[in-house]
Amino acid sequence: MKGQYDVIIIGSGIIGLSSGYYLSRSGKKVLVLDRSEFGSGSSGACDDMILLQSKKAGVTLELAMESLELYRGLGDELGCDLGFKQMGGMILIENQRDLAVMQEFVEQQQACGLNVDIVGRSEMRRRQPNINDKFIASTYSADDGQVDPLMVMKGFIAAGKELGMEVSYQEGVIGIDRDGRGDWKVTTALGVTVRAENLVIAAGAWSGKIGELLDIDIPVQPKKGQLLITEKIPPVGETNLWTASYVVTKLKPELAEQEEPDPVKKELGLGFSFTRTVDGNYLIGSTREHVGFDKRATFEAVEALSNQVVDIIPLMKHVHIIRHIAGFRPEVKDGRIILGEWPGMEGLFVATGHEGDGIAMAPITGKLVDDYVCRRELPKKVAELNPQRVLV
Amino acid sequence: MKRVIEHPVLGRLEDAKEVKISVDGKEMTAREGEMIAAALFANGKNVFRYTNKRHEPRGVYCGIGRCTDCVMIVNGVPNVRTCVTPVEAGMVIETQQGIGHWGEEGSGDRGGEDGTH
Amino acid sequence: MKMDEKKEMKNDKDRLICRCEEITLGEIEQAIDEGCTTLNEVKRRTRAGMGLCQSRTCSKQIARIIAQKTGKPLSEIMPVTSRPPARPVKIDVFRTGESNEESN
Repeated sequence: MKGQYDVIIIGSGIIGLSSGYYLSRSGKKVLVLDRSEFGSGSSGACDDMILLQSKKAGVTLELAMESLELYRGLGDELGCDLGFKQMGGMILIENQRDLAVMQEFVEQQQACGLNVDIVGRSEMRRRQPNINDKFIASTYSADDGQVDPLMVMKGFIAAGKELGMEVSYQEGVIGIDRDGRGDWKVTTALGVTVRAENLVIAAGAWSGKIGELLDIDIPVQPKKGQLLITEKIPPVGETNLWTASYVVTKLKPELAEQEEPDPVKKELGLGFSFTRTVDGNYLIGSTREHVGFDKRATFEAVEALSNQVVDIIPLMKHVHIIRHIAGFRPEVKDGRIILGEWPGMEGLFVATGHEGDGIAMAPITGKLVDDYVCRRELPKKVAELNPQRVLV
Repeated sequence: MKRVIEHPVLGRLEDAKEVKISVDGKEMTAREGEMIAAALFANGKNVFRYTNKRHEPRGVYCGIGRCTDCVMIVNGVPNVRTCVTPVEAGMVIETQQGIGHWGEEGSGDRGGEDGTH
Repeated sequence: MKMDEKKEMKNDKDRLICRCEEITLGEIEQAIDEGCTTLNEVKRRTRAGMGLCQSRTCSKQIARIIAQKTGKPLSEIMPVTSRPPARPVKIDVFRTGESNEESN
């Protein structure tokens, strides 16, 4: 029957496309719908990190490590270049308090099998000769990697289409119902009706809006992040960089709030990230703001980000910014993704809430969505990501 | 390439002080206050850089600071738009290869990179 | 290769449209064949418009290529998403407070 699919995926960002690919690989007939253009959501407004070091030990870190492994072979599997690299990563530590927090954090990660260490000043400066003298130590992980999210999405689309996947842009979803046979009936903005046994909501920061169509509360909030993009320059130091305060503000926001004296920095939720794309542009970040869906690139942010990067790497003051962007991380209060079948709604699956880890977690999420929809047995650890826990 | 001394509309070129600039290690003479691109044309140089991917020569394209074709390394800083940047005495100008390299002003020790300087 | 030398273009598809990122007509047409109908989409799929001039030079050409290939009226092809800065600006310009005079 025309308009009949096995799975309809709402959201064509990296999570939706990854899910669509893996489901197509399992032989499912998949339609991916998106209300806007290719890469118009968070997947096209983010950095490129597969950062393992910022993940809490536990299911999130384990899944991120599995995802990295998937990325290693994904280029070959999809038959295209994904811009995959492992430049390694270092989290710069400024004071004793952060050092204590990071030591504990690193120990937990090592126990999980992550290849990471704390290194002292001299090794830190050997790998990063251009940083401010104030840093006392850092972490170092050779495993931290990166991809080009746009190339990954392009790859998923091409490989998925070869397996029969359909992707429709500029075709958002305006209504969802059950039909007489119990299938999901989706009405699109183009007035088209499509049906499927299974529905996957992978709409990132906009998942809540899709949930409203079903009268369910998918508690994902936009957490805005602003980034500066520089001209292409030769590598600065050996690895990509963060500061411990970035990790601390992410994992222990209470600590960060107490400590930050500067009201502008506090409101922006300023943290430092410094990563080089495969083409040679640096992405200088970032902010963590709760301003709804206000996507503007603000002057407060470019000032604060510029001050921050020059403080940490003085030579960056000579580098040109060519673009200042903003994107929305899909945030869930308890800091974990929402993944699984919605309780009480058979055939409705949710895969969202990746916050700043969407790119890193895309392959493993897609694979797990595939496992969920195909009703395969899932590893016990993913149970804690189930939507059950976020039900009101 | 030479300079236009007598222009049908703009009239005669005013006198200006001479300044010396260094271009790829060679000394050149320029007029104080003129754009780097004009000084280079007057001295017979019209290839300003080679592109990153295809290593093709570029010079002036739009001439109004919009297209970034004319960029060169100026005083150690790459991607300087020479059509809208005036010369200064003692300026060091280099043909930019691809994304360029960083010289004196732009860096300290760049350690760990591809050693283009 | 000197400026005076003529380079043989193997075919018209090899013509550069995005000068900054060196993206050819062929690559742009391929992106459109693969489903791109907007400037933002062509940019994200080919990198055309991501270079130093941020699509100032190529976007009108790409709009016309999209119009020619898809039949979409030029008036319906939206510009690339506009973002600051209007020209490349040194990070130093945005800094406030004391400037760091040390050479490091």
